[in-house]
Amino acid sequence: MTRKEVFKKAKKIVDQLPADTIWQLDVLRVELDPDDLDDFAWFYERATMKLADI
Amino acid sequence: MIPESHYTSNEKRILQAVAAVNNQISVMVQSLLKVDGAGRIKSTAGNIQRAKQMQKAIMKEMTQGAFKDEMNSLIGTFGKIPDYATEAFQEVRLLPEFGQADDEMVRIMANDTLNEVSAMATQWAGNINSAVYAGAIAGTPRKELLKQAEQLLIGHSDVRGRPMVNYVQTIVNTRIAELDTLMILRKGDELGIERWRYTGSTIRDSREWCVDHAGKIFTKEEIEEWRDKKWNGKKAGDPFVTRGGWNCRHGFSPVLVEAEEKVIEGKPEGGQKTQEAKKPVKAKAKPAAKGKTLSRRQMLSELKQDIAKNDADIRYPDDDNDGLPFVRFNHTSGAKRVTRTQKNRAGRRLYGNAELNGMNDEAAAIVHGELGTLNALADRYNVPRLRAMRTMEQRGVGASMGDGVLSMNRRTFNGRAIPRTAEQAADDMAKLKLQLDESREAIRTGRDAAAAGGSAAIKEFNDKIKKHNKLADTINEINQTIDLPVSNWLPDDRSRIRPYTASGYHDNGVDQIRSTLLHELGHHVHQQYAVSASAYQSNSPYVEGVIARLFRTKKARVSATEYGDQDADEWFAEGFAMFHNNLEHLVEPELKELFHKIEKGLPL
Repeated sequence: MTRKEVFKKAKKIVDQLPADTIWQLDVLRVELDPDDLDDFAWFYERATMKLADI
Repeated sequence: MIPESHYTSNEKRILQAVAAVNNQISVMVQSLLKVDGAGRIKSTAGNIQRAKQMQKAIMKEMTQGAFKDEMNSLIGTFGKIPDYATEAFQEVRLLPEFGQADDEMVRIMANDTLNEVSAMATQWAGNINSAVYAGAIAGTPRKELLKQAEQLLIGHSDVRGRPMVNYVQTIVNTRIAELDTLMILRKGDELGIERWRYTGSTIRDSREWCVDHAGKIFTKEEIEEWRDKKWNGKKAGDPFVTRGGWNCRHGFSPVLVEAEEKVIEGKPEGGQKTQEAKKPVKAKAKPAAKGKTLSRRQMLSELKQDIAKNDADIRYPDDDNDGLPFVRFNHTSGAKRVTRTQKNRAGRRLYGNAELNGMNDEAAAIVHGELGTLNALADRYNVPRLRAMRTMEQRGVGASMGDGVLSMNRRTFNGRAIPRTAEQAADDMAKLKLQLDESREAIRTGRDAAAAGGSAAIKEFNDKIKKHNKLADTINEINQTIDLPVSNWLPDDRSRIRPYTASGYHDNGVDQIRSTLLHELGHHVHQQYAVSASAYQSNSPYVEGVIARLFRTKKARVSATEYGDQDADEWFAEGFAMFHNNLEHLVEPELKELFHKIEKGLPL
């Protein structure tokens, strides 16, 4: 999967917010180069905020 | 002792070797990249293709061939060290003996130096390649591209920036001086030498530390105490070996006890010239409960208790609308736009809480140790103590502060807490990346089998994912751990090349982390000092207006860090970090005066 595809999928996951959102993000994160992890962290933050209803 | 002529010869040879590389690159650019009538590189597919091809040639030029041969030959002169050491002992009529172990030490240090130079050359080749490629895409004037390359390698009078040649000269001359000292001390131990004279020529650039200590005699124990001293340009490590720091040309010569006329105390007289004595508050790690080492859980528990207590400070303004704590800053970094309600919820759930999730034990211990300093400074500047601590990951942000909430980038802190040299980082990175690729492949191929294998197989699969992601985090953090030379910039320097932040003046992770924490506390001071509820709610604390005015008047003048020139608040925070972390001499007088006024509660 390319970086773009990973980010696109992650956005979809965070938008839909399934019960296993964080797990799905974990699985997706495996595909990334370590340099992209800081950017990817946004999805975890966003998901956490949404799950906490903020 | 190494004669001065050896150092200058090294510098000259390095300059010639790097200049030769620059010439080769210049020939490549001129012969391969076509230009238009105005001298701009044509941004054609052909040129871009050729720029790509040049990247390999440039990398080869800088890491192999004539440059590498010259560096090999130069570092071969490390073999002269036993002769120089012998000369040092002739003064006291002793003759040291050298054996295989000494030859081995010379060989290892020469190899290490060569590796460091190679890593530097690889890094700079990457920088030049980026410039060439960008030039071909953007259609940069060829003359300008050549100037950029020249600046990167040997410096250019019209362009600012520290070139590669300076770094290589610093590395080679520092390492050879370290080897010389190491050899002299080793032989001194064998010959029973107990006292050492700090010797070496004092030149215009000599550090205050070296000038103060030159010619004085010290015992080994007294030199050992230098570990805890601070001075500008100090290099981490054994003080016998690192002496004054990067590029230091001082060393130790043996002194026979019967030959001593007067033993001068190792401690500098009065100590007033050391920066340690100058700084108003010594940012010292909090002792761990009378010598006991605290566990991670104990540290966190202490932090939580402290933070929860601080949250009760009535100086933190409440919201006029609902009477609950006011939230000025957006703590929902995951959301681009937030409503007032969302902002309040996000902030209020942080207040009174402390967490260090994802921070390694080393970084957590440093943060824990600094809490005492942060509390003391908050008291001293009459602002409430911090009321929340948390970790985060945000590209390009080491830490942030708002509403008394300190957010720390765990990757930055983790990396700084375990520093590595460029060479170590490259080695570690290469090994871990291999492991990462293997692990990714195993996860991809094992997914279906895990799904079909029941709960145990799924658990194993999930563990693999966790392990993989931890490994990826480690690699990411290594990127932030490269231990670059410490800046020696001073306010009267003509150069504008300064570190990006105040951390760049420190050579160790503890001081770098402390610098970041103090920077954030600086923000806390301008956000909270004497702020009325209405000013806070309308985003206009009094101090911030004062800083903005001062910043406008200083605008043309550079401050000690690039970040400090960015805006008024960063200027204040950078100055605050330097003022309280041993770099008072880099802080502008008007800022020092402002700190004084805030501290004493005087009109600003």
